[in-house]
Amino acid sequence: MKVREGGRKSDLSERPGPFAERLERARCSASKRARRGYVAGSAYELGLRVATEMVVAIAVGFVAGWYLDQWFGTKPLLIIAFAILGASAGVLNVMRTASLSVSAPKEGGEADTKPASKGNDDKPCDLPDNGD
Amino acid sequence: MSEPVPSEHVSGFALDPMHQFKVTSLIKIPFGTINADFTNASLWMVIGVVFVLVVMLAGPRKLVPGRLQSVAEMAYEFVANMLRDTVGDAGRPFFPFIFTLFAFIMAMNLQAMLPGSFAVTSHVIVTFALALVVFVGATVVGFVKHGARYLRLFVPSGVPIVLLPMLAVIEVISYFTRPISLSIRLFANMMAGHTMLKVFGGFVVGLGLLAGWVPLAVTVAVFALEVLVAFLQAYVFCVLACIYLNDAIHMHDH
Repeated sequence: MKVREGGRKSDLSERPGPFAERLERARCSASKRARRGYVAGSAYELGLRVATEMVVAIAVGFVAGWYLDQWFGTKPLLIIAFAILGASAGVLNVMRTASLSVSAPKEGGEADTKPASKGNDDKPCDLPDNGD
Repeated sequence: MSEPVPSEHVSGFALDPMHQFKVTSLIKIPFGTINADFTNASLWMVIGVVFVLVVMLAGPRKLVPGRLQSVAEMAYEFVANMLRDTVGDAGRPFFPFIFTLFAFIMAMNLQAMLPGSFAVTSHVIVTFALALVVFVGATVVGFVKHGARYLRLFVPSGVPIVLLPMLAVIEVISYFTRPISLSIRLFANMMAGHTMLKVFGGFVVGLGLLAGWVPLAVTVAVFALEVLVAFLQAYVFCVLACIYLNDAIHMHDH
């Protein structure tokens, strides 16, 4: 804690910044850091999430096709079409999931290369924090 | 725990890691043909809700917070920041809902880490009910805010008219995967984690004093991971709820 504050002092004197800016930096506290930790800490989690999105979308397409087939009496046609459409929806979901975490992977990658130096990668975000 | 155990007992213990998920009726409540019994799941839900209420309401409110008050304030700040980051100021009316969601899932996930407790969120029906509330709620909010124009969420802009019907169907399917992937993610994480803990715990007993230390170390590590997962899954669930809410409120995002 002490060491981190010492390291940050030079940082502070480097760019004093206007009050509003410092306030803004102070404000992004717990949630931002938690998210950063989340992204950095669990590539496994992201992988699992992406896999779930893909599988679930295909399943939803399949089930939708199944019931629509029963409804319209077009036995094999719609189930095939909707399974394919479901797969496309899965790709769409995966792309959206990936783009949701696009803002974070930059810091996440940094944190991955040097996981010990926590003070380093959230330089812009935790100035007057109560630490963790 | 490390005493030698008769082998038939060991195999019975090690082979049934799913027994922990069994729902049993504690109090029978006759309610027509519907099974409305008070089960062990209900019991642990009540315990979790009481726990959250104690953390949030008990204790004096001081300017310099004590431990309990700090936890309550941190939880509040955490969810408030999360909501503001994802939805913005328009999300403020939904804070109570998101906070309740977060507190409930968090309490369920964490108390499931207590030995002998019951992992409520490892049942897909529970997580699906939660996800369905989020899904239906977000959809209703979207229709209330935008009326029939909310359906334009399914019409991507800048697309050739020939492809439009197909893409609209894809968007609709994508929309309906939301509650399912939301619930499956939470339930699968919790169930996988608890099953894994039980399996490794069975190894500890099975291998005994001689080699049981290895799985014991693994169990400790997995336990730590599970505590992290308990928090992360509550967080992910609520962030995604916020994102869906954001889509419903500001629908120009995609």
